[in-house]
Amino acid sequence: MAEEGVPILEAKGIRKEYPGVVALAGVDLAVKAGEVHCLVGQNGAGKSTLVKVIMGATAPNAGELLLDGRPVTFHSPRDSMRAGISCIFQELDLVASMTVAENLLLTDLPGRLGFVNAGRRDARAATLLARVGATFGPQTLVETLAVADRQLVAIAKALAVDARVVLMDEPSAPLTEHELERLFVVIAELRRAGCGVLYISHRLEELHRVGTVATVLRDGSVVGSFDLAAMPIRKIVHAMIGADPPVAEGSAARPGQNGPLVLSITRVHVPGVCDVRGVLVAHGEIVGLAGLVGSGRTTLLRSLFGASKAEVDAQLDGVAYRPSRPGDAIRLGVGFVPEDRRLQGLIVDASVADNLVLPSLPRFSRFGFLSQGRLAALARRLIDTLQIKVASPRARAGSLSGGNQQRVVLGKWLEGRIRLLLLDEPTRGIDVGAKAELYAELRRIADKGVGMLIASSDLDELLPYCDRILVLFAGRLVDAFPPGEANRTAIVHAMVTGERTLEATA
Amino acid sequence: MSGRKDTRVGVARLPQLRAMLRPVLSRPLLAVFIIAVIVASRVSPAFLSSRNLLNLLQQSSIVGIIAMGMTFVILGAGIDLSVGSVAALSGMVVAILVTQHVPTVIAIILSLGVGAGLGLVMGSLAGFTGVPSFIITLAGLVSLRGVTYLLTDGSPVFGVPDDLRYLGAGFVGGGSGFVSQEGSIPVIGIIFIAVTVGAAVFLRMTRLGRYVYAAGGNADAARLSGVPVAPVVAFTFLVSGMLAALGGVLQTAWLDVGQPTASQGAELTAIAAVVLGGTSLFGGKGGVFGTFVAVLLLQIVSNILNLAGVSPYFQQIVTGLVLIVTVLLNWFIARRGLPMA
Repeated sequence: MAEEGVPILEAKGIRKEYPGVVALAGVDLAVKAGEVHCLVGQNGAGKSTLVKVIMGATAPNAGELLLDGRPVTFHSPRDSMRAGISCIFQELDLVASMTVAENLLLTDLPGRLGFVNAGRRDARAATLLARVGATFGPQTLVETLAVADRQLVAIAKALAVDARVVLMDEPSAPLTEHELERLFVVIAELRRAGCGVLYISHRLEELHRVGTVATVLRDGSVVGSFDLAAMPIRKIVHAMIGADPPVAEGSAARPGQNGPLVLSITRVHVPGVCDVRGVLVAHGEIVGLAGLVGSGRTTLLRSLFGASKAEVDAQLDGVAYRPSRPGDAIRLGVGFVPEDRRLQGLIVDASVADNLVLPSLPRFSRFGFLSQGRLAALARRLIDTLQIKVASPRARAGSLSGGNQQRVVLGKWLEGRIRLLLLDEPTRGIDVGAKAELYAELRRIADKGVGMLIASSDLDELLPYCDRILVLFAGRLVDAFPPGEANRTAIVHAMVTGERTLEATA
Repeated sequence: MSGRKDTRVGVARLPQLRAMLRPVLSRPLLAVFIIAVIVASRVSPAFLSSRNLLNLLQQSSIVGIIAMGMTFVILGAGIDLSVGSVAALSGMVVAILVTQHVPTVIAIILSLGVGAGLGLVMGSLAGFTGVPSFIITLAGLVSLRGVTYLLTDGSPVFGVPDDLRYLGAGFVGGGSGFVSQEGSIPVIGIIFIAVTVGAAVFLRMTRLGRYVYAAGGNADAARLSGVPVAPVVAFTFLVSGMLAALGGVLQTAWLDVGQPTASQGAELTAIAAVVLGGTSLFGGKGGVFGTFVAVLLLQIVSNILNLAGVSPYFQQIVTGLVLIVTVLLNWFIARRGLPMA
């Protein structure tokens, strides 16, 4: 592509540390005019952190940003926006209750003396919409638009501020194939207009359709920048994962599917979202659920817990199991660790003890009155067994570290008759050391006979810690990897394409 | 567990003094309350007389009982604007029933049932549909007042029998009956204290009580822990409706007449008392003892101003200021006391 000239946006030696983690260890990146630069890497490779640094949402510990060859410092996303950098996120920054035109020109409404000239506003908005090929008018309310159309509005907004560089973080995730085509047409338009585009996506198969150059991040460092024309997907996956061949360590001699089953799913069906058949979990077995965002992992787990409306046809220890609300599941010894710890797992303003005993209250009350002594003892025991680091059981749950908060959410289920634990992204936002400890804890719990289904986007944790890995794609179970046969490349292939096997796996 | 703040600031310095003052410093309400009592006793030596204190209790009781119900609703992250109208309606219902020679006990039970039923309906609408309780109870505020007027075409109901009057205006100990003597305690005050203690025990010691805190603290997390959130929310409104009805019944007993215009604006005083008492408007934090102290504080403030002969117009301004200052202090201490997120 346009090889001559300085890059529009250049990052040099960007380093960003968080307590206990190096998120970015000196990253270089250069985006040229008319280039669609893809940024790829596994979860936790540092993509989001790099985007945050570029848009000024967080300050790097070292390194510099150059815009048109001149060093710049952004103190806030507003700074970067003024300098010509636009960001398009999955959660679009649009005011849903206002019209498209008002959104496009929100900070730059034409008019005088504070009065808005509606005619000029709508005319300018219409021009912008035409450039992105929108089929709706400037007067349309944003809340009436589909996700794909909202995305067009966001892109048009980038054009409105004469963006030089457009960052797109997973723009394709919510789109259908047809909508994706339109997005690519718009991106081509941005290229023609001389913008640089930094494109982040998990869907590797679309890189070649949209991008020209790809930079691969791994563990906060750049593995390399490649011309996509000469780079098949297989090699990109290899670069993302690292040269070392994947080893599924520690999965020897687990109570495989031969043991008694705790859960046997005939079918879990949510029309249009999820249709999973034939999942079996044995007592003491840890089963991993791999899959992209939107593959139905969360829906499957929530359905099994009775937290989402679904047709569940399953058996728990051989008895028909059809939970219609979480209370049903809890009574039968099923626990759920939800995806968002602070929003769904914890009552952050309540005490650690109150959080720990909440699901157990029905079993610790008589005529509605709680037996305080036994509850306090239970809380202390859970804090001890899970080694939750907290000054007192009365401490506010929200004051704990991420890893300890997760232990509290886990601990809620460890009283009494737990036999099946469903965990959704249990290690999100937890640092590396705490992750390993958490999985060690999960293994100890499993060894007592509890079966587990763990959904995670991070293969690095599923591979070493799970006895089996199931792959979901577009709401269906597409592949299963028994112990010892878990092959990272094959799993990633199944996750990304929904196809069963990649050539002949070695 | 309720609203207890973690005071870490400056713990290293002056540890003993800190430890001694912590119960007061971490609760601005208590500090303001103590200051108010000191000021009041300076303004008038009569303030600390047992007669005046018992008067205070008596005057606080009706709004206090309504505020107890409001505390339930707000702990569950809702708001109940209908309590004033529910109180008036129930106060009229009890008056009409007793003047039709329905036995007092049955009349009271029916009136409380009306309040509880109305609360349950509004709470169920809010809990199961997700329509903000603000809207639903605003509709209740307006329409139930209309119902109240319709009952008697707007006229008051006279002829409340003595057994009902006794609950609102009677005394025990000392002289007893309707005459207060040294050391006689108003029945209505005893009811207020009993309701407060009952509510506190309920919220602290029962499963349903803990569910109220959980549902208000984080509805999603509570649901995923097996808490039936919508029924719990509906229940808080049932309590609020029933206690508002009790307030209305006592109002009729105290005034000796069923007044359709009674308890107008009671919802705002009750909400003010709950917030002043340190219960979070976002739900899940706080408790009834804070509300109890706050109700007394509001009464003391107006009592001081009365004793000092301040115009009632100024009294309203001062009450507003006390509310704002205490809540700001609360907010300030909560922010400094909590570790940075």
